[in-house]
Formats: sequence, structure tokens, C-alpha cells
Amino acid sequence: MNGQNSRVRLNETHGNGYAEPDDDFGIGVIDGGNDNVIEENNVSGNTNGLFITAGARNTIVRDNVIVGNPGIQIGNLKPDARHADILNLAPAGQTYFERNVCVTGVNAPCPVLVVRPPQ
Amino acid sequence: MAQRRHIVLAAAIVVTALAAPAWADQVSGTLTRTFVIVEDTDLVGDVVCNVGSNPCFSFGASNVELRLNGFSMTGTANAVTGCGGAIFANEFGITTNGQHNVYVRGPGLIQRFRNFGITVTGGSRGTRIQGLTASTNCGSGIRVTAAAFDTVVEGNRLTRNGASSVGAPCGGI
Repeated sequence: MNGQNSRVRLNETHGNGYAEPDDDFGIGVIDGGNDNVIEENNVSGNTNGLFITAGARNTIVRDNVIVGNPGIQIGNLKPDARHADILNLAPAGQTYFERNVCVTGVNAPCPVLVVRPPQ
Repeated sequence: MAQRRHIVLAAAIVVTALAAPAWADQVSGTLTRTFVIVEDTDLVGDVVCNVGSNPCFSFGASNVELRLNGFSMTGTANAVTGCGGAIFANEFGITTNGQHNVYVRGPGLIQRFRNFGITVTGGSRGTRIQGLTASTNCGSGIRVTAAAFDTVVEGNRLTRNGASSVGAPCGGI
């Protein structure tokens, strides 16, 4: 996705993307994407969970569960590949993270394992 | 007496107008050329798309919606392997085609297209895509291009989409 002022919310993305090359994703904010909000999505088992490329600007990422990316077989077959739950290549200050659950991240606040109290 | 007849007739017209569904196109079966959406459109059965190197559905007007109503749209990719990593030009399931305020509404399944399942093209504003499942498409399940504005992608399920093209990252959304 590289639109302007888009909102991606409440989606489930599982098992998307090829292992080679290692730039596929469950949700992607690609060069040219500005002012997008990614919120309350559930993302697992993809090549990368959330991939934010170097040219993305002013992205808000909040309240997502992004875990188990990539699947263990890809992780074992390609241990040197650049795969993660959140792979953020945008310049510092261009992506805003709030209350996400993830385990592996590049330039992202992982691991953050949140246990929410019963409602 | 005549006045009373007029009142009854007017009431009957109002009731009839309220009961009648708004006009909408209805689609099912096999498509062999692109279906251009110019008014609200309902799938009334599963659709198989065999349209060559073209989109299956293309919006041709703004402020209209495509409702899948629980049915599927199926392209020509392999059910297990998709396209084996390749992408074929223009073989989208649905393109917004630059129209504004169009709505693709689930539930429904968009599968096995040899490019993006849905592409929100440049120039489109206010597109809404909601409640769909996109699977085994050979590009992203849902793609929003750089010159598309104010798109909402909400409550969808994306699985087994993607390609191995170098320099063209893709996947779910």
C-alpha cells in the first residue's frame, strides 16, 4: 500500500508473501505512502508482518497484533534474510508506534508483549 | 368519494416505491470480458473470470458499489501454486479505475487473479473496501497506489497472496 491518508484497520493478514526476495509482507507501507494509519490488524505467518519502506512518511501504527512473521520454516531455511514482525526502514521520526504487540522488529519497539486486563 | 380514491392511490404508490429495491445490476456466471460497473452492482452467484489480460470488474462511475453478497470471484491462477511467483499485466480482480467514492463490500471471496485481487488506482478518492477475503492472488490481495487518497480498507482477510518479483514488494495489503 502506498496511498495517501489511507486507513487500514481491523484486517487479518496471514500467510502472504514469498521468501525470496525478502520484501513481501502482510501489510506494507511502500515508498510514496504518506499519512497512513495502520490500526487494530492481526498479522501473522507472512514473509514480513508489517513492512515500512524507506520512502514512507508520517505513518501511524497502533493497536495491532503482529506476531509469528515469518513462519518457522522460512526462518530456518533463510536465517540471514531480513524478515521480522515489523521491518521499519523509514527515517527516524516518520513512523509512530503505539500499543502494538510484536516480537521481532527493526526500528520498531519490539518485543512488547502486552497483557490486557479482563474487560 | 373521488378525493378518498386519490388518497388511497397515492398511499399505494408510496408503499410500492418503498417496497421496491433500488435498481442494481446483477452478475453471476462466467465473464469473458471486463464488466464495467456504472451503477450499484450485486453478485447473485459465483463469478468465474476468463477475461484475458484485463480486469474482471472495473468501476466506470463514481459513487457506486459492488456487493459480493457472499459469493466468489475466481481468476485463472492455479488454486495451489497461484502463478508460481509471476505476475501477469492487468489481470486484476477489481480496479477502481480512478473513480471516486466507490465501495467494494463483502462478504465474499476474491481469488486466483494473476495480479492484484483489488487495485485502488491513482486518482481514486474515498474508496472503501470492507469485509472481503482475498486469497491466492499473484500480486497483493489489496493494493492501494500512491496517487489514491482517503482509502479505507477495513475488516478484510488476506491470505496466500504475493509474488516473487524483484523490486516489487507485495503481499496482503
